[in-house]
Amino acid sequence: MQADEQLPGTVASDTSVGDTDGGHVHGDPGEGHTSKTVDQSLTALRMLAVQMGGLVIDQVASAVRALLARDTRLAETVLSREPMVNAYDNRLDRETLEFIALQQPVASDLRMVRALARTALELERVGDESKKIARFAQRASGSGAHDPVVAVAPYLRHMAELSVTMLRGAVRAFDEGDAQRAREVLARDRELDAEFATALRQLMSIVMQDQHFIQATIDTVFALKGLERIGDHAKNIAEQVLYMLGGERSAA
Amino acid sequence: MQGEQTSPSAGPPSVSITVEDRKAVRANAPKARAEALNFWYGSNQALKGINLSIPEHQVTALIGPSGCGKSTFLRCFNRMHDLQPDTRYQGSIMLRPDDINLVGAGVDPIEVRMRIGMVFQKPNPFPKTVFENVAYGLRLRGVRNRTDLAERVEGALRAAAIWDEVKDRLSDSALALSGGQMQRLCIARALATQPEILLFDEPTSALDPIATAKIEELISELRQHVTILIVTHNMQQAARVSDFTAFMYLGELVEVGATSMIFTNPGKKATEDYITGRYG
Amino acid sequence: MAAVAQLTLEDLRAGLGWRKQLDKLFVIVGLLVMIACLAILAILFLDLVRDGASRFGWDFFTSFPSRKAERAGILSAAVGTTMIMFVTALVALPVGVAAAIYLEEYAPKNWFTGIIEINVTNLAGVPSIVYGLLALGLFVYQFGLGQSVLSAGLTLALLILPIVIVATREALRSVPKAIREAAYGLGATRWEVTRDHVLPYSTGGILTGLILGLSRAIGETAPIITIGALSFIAFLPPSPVSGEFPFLNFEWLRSEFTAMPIQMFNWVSRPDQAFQANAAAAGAILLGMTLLMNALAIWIRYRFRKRINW
Repeated sequence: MQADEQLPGTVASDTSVGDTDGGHVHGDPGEGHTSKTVDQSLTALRMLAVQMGGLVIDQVASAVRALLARDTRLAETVLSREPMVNAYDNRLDRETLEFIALQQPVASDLRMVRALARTALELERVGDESKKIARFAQRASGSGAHDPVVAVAPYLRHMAELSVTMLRGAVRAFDEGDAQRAREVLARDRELDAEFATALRQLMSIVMQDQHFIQATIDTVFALKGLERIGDHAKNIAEQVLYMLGGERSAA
Repeated sequence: MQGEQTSPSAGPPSVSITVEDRKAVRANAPKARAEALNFWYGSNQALKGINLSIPEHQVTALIGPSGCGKSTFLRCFNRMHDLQPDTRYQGSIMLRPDDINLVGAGVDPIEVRMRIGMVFQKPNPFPKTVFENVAYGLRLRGVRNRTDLAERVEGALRAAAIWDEVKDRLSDSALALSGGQMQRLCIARALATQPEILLFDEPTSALDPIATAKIEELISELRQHVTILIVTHNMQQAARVSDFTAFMYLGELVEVGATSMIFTNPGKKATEDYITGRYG
Repeated sequence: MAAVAQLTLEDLRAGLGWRKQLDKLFVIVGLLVMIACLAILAILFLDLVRDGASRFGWDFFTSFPSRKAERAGILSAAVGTTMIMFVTALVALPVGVAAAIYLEEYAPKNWFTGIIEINVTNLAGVPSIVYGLLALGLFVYQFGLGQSVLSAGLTLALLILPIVIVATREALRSVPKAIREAAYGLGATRWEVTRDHVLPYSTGGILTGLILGLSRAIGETAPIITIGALSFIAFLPPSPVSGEFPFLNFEWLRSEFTAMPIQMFNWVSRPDQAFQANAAAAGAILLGMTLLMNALAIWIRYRFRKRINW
């Protein structure tokens, strides 16, 4: 990620979502089992999920940047990394299943493994959404005052920031077992939805004024919707985190 | 985060996950191989044509319902059946690398037992001191020098993860230890003579869950020093602890494979039925 | 489907009273019988002590038999008994233990072994005078050992052999199979398993068996009369320890002897009433020795049992 292309206002400089110098975290599930194999497996699985999260976050940010800057090369990069996202998902899916079969986890371990599997699924879907946005970025051309992408660019940008922040927060909450952070993500979703509604209204007013860019407008709507959905996926991940931690906190 | 900066065609970064490591990435050479092994108690045939490879430095588990012959098969490896009257072996268990047939008529059972160790179901330390328990096998082999003995006893106790608990109690009676400690002492006793294969006959069925967990962890670690064959009627233990699992039924070997495969997607229906609890 | 009668609480309680009564009854009967036996033993002992009271004293122990009742003592008899018991123990222990080890650990389980085992237990029921006759023919005449301490010791050893064998086998059996398996599993031979594990842990039982055997042998009269124990010996067998090289000699084995039961028998048969007291005193002492040996056996068993609990 080149420094001058960071989305303004984001905390993109902090790319270290995968802060796994673990051990200091409350109730670290990757520690303390009599069987070191279990400790290692859980830690490794979690690291995989966090790495996948990092990749997917970057996909989202890059896809939106490609759209806003009409950067088809960046869009291609995003599309070519999509198989990697799927590969992560497959691997996590397979290995969580194996872990359950071989180690028969219960209680917090079981919740964690389940949360891992579902998080992988959500992240994979986020990857799909970014792919769609990147495809749109490839197709989109033209500029001008009535280009819907230009018209809602601030909304796109802001929604991208929001959803990326939510994603990052959710993944970090997962990695660190931080329920407070997870709750913050849940709260953010409302903001994202409001932003989406405003962007839609803006688009509708443009369309009523100038009907040349119907296709682009529709695509833009989908892009906005995609970002909104990404926020929903982040919210789901945050909910998984709360479920995973549920047994340890008295007031969830 | 470095992951996303790599070239687009790179796969997911190679994070070593033990779940994956436990599958034999490259085929391990077998330490022993049973070939067409048959066994009779009197006129009753307890093992029927067993063909099984035991890979070196791996844990192989034998599972199956009561009476399937898993303990019988295990005890062929160290000729314990020779202590009973009217038993008969047929076929072979070839031990690598010298290609000796462990159940061959011309092979001395005492010699076999000096190369193959065993840990039994109920902890059975001798009513001697902790030190003497571990040293007994060494004395049988003619080790007399006190320093040698002390060194090797300490090594064995460390390998069995019990040194810290007994280092100040070496002259105390072994019977004063708890059940889990006694079993680890028995493991140390078997390890002292550096066996090539270590046999475990349901080693934790008489122990509480904490002691069981410690011993399972120990078995996992011992794998790098010695080949392990374990009989267990607890399938979940086989899943947790072993690299390869063999399912036996009515004296025959039904299926053998990597543990992760057997417990997620076994090949034979009989195996699947047993594992999922459909005993019919 | 016929209704199965349910047991009501009344049914349960109805039988309970009677069952508990039966329980108490058995305790009482057992107690009475035991007290009766002990009482008989006590009465016997006290009677002897009372009859022989006049003769207890240091001279009784240190005098030889004599025609005068007051001067007759048990010195030669006591020494003779001690020497015979020594020989008996020395012979019975290794032979009995070895036989038991063979039967228990080595012998294959076939009909031949079965016959041997039956005969060993039968030997315990052979009348002791038959042992005496056997000894007379075999030890005294055939082997030419003469009417000596050695012959007496060998005879009595034969007598108590079944006791030692059975007790040893029981002790060997009490060693758990798991210990043997563990030893075999480490590559021990059968002899190493026996020597290092089975024998050490059976020692208590073996010694107990030996002492019980000895306490029976100490009172056996018939066999030693048959092989010719004399009843009037006013000398002691030669001392086994002498002042010159070699310091031990075995002359005493070949010497003639007497024993406590013989002496008692002799005194009792005398017409002179005064000797009755001697006999009673000797009897009390013999009984006391027997009780002491039994107590020793019990103590040994207790001590060994404390050291090892499986």
